[in-house]
Amino acid sequence: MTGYISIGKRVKFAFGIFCVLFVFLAYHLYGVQITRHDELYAKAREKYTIETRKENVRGEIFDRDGNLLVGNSPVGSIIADPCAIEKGKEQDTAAFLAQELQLPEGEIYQKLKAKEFTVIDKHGRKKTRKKRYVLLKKDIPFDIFEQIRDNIAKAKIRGISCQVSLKRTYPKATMLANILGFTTIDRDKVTARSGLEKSFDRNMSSVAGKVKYERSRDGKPLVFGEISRQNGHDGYDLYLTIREPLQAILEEEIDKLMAASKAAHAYMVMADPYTGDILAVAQRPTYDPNDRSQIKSNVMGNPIVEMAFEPGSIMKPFAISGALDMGIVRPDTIIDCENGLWSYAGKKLRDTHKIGRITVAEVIKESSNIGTAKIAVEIGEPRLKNLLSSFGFGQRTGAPLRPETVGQFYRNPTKISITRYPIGQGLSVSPLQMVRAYCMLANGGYQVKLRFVDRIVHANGTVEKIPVQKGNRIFRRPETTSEILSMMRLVTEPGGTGTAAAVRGYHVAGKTGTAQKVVNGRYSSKVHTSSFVGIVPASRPRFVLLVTADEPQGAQYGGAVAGPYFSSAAERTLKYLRETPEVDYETYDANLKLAKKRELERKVRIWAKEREERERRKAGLSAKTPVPAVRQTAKPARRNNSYRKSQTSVRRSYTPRGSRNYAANNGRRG
Amino acid sequence: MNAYTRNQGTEVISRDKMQDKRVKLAGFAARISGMILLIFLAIATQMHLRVEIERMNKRATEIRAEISLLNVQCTNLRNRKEKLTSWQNIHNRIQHYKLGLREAEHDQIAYITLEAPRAVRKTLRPVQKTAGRRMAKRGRQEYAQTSR
Repeated sequence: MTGYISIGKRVKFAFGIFCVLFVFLAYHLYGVQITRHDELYAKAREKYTIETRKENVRGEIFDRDGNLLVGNSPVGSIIADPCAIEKGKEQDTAAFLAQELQLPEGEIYQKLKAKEFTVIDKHGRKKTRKKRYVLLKKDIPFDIFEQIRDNIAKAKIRGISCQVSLKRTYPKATMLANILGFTTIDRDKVTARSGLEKSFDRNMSSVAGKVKYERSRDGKPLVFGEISRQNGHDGYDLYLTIREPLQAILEEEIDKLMAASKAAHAYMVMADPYTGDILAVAQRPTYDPNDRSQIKSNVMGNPIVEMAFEPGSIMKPFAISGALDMGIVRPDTIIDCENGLWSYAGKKLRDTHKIGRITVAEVIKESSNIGTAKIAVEIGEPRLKNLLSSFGFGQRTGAPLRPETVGQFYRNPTKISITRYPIGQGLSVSPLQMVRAYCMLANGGYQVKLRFVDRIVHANGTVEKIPVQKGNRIFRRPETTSEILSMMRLVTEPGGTGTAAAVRGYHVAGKTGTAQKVVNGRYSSKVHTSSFVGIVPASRPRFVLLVTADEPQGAQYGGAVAGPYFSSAAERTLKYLRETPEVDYETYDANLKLAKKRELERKVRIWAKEREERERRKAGLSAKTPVPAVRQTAKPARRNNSYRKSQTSVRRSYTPRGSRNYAANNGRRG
Repeated sequence: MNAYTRNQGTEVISRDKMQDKRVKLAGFAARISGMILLIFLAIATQMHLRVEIERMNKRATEIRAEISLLNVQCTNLRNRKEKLTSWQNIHNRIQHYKLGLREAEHDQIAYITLEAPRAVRKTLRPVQKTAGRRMAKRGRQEYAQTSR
């Protein structure tokens, strides 16, 4: 009986203890699970969850055919963990690394010896921490890095690790440098600084992948411990419309141009007139993006979009083509160029040399300011403005380069603007605007949008083609293009202002331009912008090429400064494009010889006339009565001989004022 | 008699029970052993699989590292190729070695196109007599394709 009682007590006692323990446990669980839940959960998360970040690769830039222009190059870094290096072995390690890395031994030894560093916490207390990361050398070229890594592995040195990272590289160095731009590293983040790198930064930047997971005590991820995953991707690759071989040609020619002219700036732009593709762009001064220690701020820009210049005579074909299209003039309409001096609205306009009565085609050939201005006056102010606007002047080209200028177009027009704008004075355009306008002349008068980027290739391989946009037609008459191109062909033929730009075997439709620059509010007679723009081959245009030298020293005329380099670049480009010559070389040479002979005969005739005039003056005889300047307005478009006869009769009926002192055009000027 | 009977009876009963118990015990032991064996096998298999998975994971990591290294080497080689094939580099070499190279005239260049050799045989496959019209048509199509 007693035994039963004692057992019952013990059971009750044990039950009581269990009850107390259970209550304590329940209380504690309440505290852990409910009261301190957030705090403890956060602590646990912090301790057992980890986020790994996978850096992806920034997009690269290629030319149209897949040649690398901007890429990512692997480079190596050597990192030391001073705490992991055995005590007493620092000197040996330093000696080994000094030999491998070509660094001073003392410097490495100091770095390896310092195993602790002091930090100041948020309460201002000093604390010592172990030093686990010391960068010994970075950006080691990969080939050398691989050797060093093998040597370190063979030597079995503890505490030294080798890390591979990617560095932005520009394998073509200065080629296209201004257009491509460059990136820098700012607080471990890639920052695009200029050019296409900046414009397409959002597309080309990679998105880092992030995985958040729970890990075990030894740091391994738990099987079902993944909390979140954010998939990253590489940046998009850009394929430009640029073609590297053509780019190389322009780069070489522009260097020659710079060496010969000693210009402050020079640029060459080549474009496909039908698609608006920019085939090559060369700009000087430039820089090597791989070595930025020598870069000056003034060489980093893109003058072809940022810089507006007064184009000068290369502007003339636009007003004349408009007049042709409107039926105001025909290529053989006679224009009186007033013997080189003409007043309009009380202001004088001069030609670079004395020109009398010439055809519209000769206005282009001789680059007559007065002839062009007279045609523009005939077109009228509103129509001229519309015409030039339709060629894209005063509008951005949409090139993916910032900042882009719109130039100065009809900002403060005056009474004489109508005579100045068509000859490229009083307005300014960017080189790209000019190239776009010439593309329109070449492609039959269709508006065109310039393209720098041909396609974008996404990280998953999807190809996004940038479409070619065909614009509205400017010309109403289909013959306008062929007429203006035929007229522009005369510029590079004997007697024209741009004979140096001729290409053997091909007809070049071009225009020279020599624009005076404004210095202290006045047009300077010493500082010029010399240009040549051409369309080659004239019969079936393959490309438009603009060559401009800003402030050349010595020769200043566009034909003399830019012409030879245009010719050389165009000839090499045509060879590369396998463009068969329009005329075989023998015929071309024979035609050239004949044209030169005719030109010489024409000059001899003019000189003879001048001599006769001088003799008559000496003899005291009065000159022929000058006839008032009469512009021959366009006759209705008649193609039969009667029109020519009527023109001949017009020529006979008036004695040209200019013919009296028709100057010898010794210097062909643009 | 009673005692004999009782003893006899007791003896008989205990022998049967012992037999029964032994059989049951043996069956139980066999079942337990079987279960333990199964559990052992399961655990052993699981361990083996884990080891195998671990080994394969390790190998996969190694291969991934190798692939990544090869990719890096490929990138490096591509960049070197791009540098070496750039016109600037070629031009510098031409200048350095004073190679008397000049650009060819247009009439000096001839372009030839080599067509890729065709694996398809050009002879007409004989059409079986039994094949009928469908096979004959197929044969004609094949011939048309190969002789294009």
